[in-house]
Amino acid sequence: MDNKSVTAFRRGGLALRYSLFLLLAFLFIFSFAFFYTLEFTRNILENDAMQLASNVTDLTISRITNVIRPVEQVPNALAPALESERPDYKNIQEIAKDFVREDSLTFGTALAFEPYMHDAKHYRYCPYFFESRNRIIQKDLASPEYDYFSRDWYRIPKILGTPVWSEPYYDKGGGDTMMCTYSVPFYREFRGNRTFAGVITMDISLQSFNHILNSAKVYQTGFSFLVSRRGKFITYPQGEYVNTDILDLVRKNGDPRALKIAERMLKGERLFTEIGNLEQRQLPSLIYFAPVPMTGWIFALTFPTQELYSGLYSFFKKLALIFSLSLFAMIIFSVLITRKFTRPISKLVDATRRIGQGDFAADIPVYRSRDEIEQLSNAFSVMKEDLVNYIRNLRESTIEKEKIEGELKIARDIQMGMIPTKFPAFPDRKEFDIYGFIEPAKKVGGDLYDFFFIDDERLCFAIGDVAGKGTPAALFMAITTTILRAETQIAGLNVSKVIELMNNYLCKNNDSNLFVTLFLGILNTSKGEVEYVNAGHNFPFIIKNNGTVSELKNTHCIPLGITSNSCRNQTTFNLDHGDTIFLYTDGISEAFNNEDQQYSIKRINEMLRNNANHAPYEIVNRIVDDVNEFSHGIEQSDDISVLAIQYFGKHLSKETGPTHQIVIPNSEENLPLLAEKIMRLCNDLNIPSGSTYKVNLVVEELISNTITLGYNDDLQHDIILNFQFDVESISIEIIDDAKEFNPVVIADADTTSEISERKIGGMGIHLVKNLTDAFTYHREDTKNITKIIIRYS
Amino acid sequence: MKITTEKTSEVLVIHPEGRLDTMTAGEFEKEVTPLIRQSGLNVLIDFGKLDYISSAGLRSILILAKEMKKKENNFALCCLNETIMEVFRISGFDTIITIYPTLENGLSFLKGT
Repeated sequence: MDNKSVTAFRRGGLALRYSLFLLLAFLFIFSFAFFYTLEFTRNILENDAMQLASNVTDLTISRITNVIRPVEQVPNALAPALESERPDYKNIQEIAKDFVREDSLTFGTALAFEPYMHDAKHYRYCPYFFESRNRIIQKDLASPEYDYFSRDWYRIPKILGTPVWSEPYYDKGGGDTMMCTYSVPFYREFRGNRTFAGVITMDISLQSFNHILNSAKVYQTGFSFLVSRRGKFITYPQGEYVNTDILDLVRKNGDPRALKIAERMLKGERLFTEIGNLEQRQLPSLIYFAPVPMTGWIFALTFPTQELYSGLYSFFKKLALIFSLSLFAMIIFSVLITRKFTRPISKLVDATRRIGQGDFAADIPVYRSRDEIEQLSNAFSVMKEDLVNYIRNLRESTIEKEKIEGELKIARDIQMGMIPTKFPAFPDRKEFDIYGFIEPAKKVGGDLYDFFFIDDERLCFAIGDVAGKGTPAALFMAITTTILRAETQIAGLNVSKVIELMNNYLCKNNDSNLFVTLFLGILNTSKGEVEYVNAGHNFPFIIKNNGTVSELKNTHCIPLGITSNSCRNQTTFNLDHGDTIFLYTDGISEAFNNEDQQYSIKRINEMLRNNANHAPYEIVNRIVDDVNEFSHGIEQSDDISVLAIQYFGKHLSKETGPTHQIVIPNSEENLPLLAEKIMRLCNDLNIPSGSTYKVNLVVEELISNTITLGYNDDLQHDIILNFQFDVESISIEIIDDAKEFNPVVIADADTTSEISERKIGGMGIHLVKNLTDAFTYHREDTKNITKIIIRYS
Repeated sequence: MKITTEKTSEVLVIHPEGRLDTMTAGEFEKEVTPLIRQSGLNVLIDFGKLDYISSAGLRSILILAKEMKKKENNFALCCLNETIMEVFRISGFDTIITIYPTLENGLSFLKGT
């Protein structure tokens, strides 16, 4: 755990996260309960409101009918009296007049007749009594101006033939006030027909309803009003809108829902509903309405919706506040409690970090809480102990390993000391060139090679591979090398005898059942003759001076150290000038790459053919580099040993024939002079003209190449030519300090295509290769050394 | 190096003498190329008095041969000594350039075409 997350853990971490989740859960549950309760309470409130409105409405309606009923009863009772044979008009009107005086609601009463129905003299006859300032005043309405025949209170009952309550109206010229009139028609027998004779009316002042309706209120600003059957306001608070049409008012306000509800109201339905607003200044409201019996009026009770819920909302606001505070407190408690639980974990984390930094003295806190924390702290304690033990073991084994590695290094030094690894190994010997390389797979290996002179002429060389790797193999290898040197010192022994003696010795003291494959050869450096025995080792390659490559496919016996058999007789063959023998162990041929493929003998063969013209040093290094590249990324599985010997023979030795050195500066102008010198030299030594020509040509081609391509500066450089004239051949050694250039590897020139496609150039080296009997190159420090041999034709 | 030429009606014969090597090849080319271009004839180079030829010389001969091939004139050599002949064989030039043993051979063949 890094520092950042440790701090985060301490600051809140688990505790905070746990509490936040808890908070979310509570918030969810509470919200659900809150809104459910709110909705539920709203329904209850609405039902209560409806009940209340219904009660008030019923009460008010019954109060209205109570006051209206007597107003209807009086004219209803008088009408039959008016239909009698000789009606006592005076008495009838007196009764009506008394009622007007007694009844607070009634305002006036009229008795209106059809033309000439009262008496033959009067076309119109209509006495009217009304109350004014607590006195009854009589007024005659039988004027043509007033024309009572056209008034609704007269006309409608005449047409309908039934008692009728009029719409509210202002009785101009009559009562001169807002009123409604109850008219009862009465009839006479006239020529045997029941004929309409007139109406008896009772007026009520609409103002009188105000006091009834003023007391019919609910909530703070709720109010009630009365509407006539045709929709005219009979009452409205402060007398507003009286005698105007409710539909007009609602239409003007433009709320289609309110309009629909108003229409239902006029149909005489009883309903409790939201109405939006009746008029613009009103808030969204609820309305309860019901028809008033007898008159056909409609009573309506309305109040703003918000007043219904105002108490509810303030209650729920308080509730939400209380709940929020509780939640906050709960979070704090939750954080504190969770922290108490996680504190041991923090301490464990601290201890673990200190242990991680190497402080094994750090105490793991112990908890006896019988829960997961206790298990965790126990596990940490065990882990600490295990770690301490593990590290102690690791340290001990590392020390042990280092000690062994130190010893192995010494062993390797000793092993390398036994194998000749300094090159050039024989700087004085010009008859051959030798180079070897060894790389054990596990520091100390079982591979070996060796070479040494038995006498002045004969070079003994060997390569071998002990089965197995590591120290035992190395020791066996050391024994093999030692007895090889010992046995070859016995004069007059041939190689097969040496092998036999070695085998016997190795079989005798071989408790660990190790064995060694060995190729042992002796090269006669004067004659090029090689005699060898191969005891189960990989076949060496012979690279001939013409570039062909072949294997020495002879095996003479099984590996040494297994049984004391004698080997078959050795094989003998000759190396010519420039031939190379190449020996290796299976660490080369059986090197693996990451696709599990082997390097293979075939690939060695190819590499040798491609590098046939190189000196042993080059050949060995190129093969080893190629193997390393091939098995790149794979641990070296086996020891690698390579040994290569190139034979030149006595031709290049200084003792034979006259030698001559020519030194020329690196300038083309010197070429004619050089040619002249060579001509003279060859003439003096009676060299055949064909060979002289070849020497001339080869020197010109190589030197002109070096001069034109080899130098990057303007300084003078000397090129040294060493000539050696032997009995059978001329050897030429060219030494220059030009940049590295190996002419031997230049590709062959084009000698086959048509004249028009034949490439110009590249012919010089081609001629040199084909006109000489040996052509080698190697680089020594900063010098190119090219050697050529031309046999006399 | 010394170069002499003789012209018959159909053949331009060139006689180089001495060494045709790195130092002289350029000179040879410079001298012979205009002659060949002017004459517009078949060309025979007589190697009878040539002692030595190196790759630089071969290069000049190849350039001339290519030039002649382009002009569709015949080009031949004659009288190569044994060593020079070996050089021609090794370089594969004997397969692309006609070589006659004697001057007479060369002339008669070139006239005959």
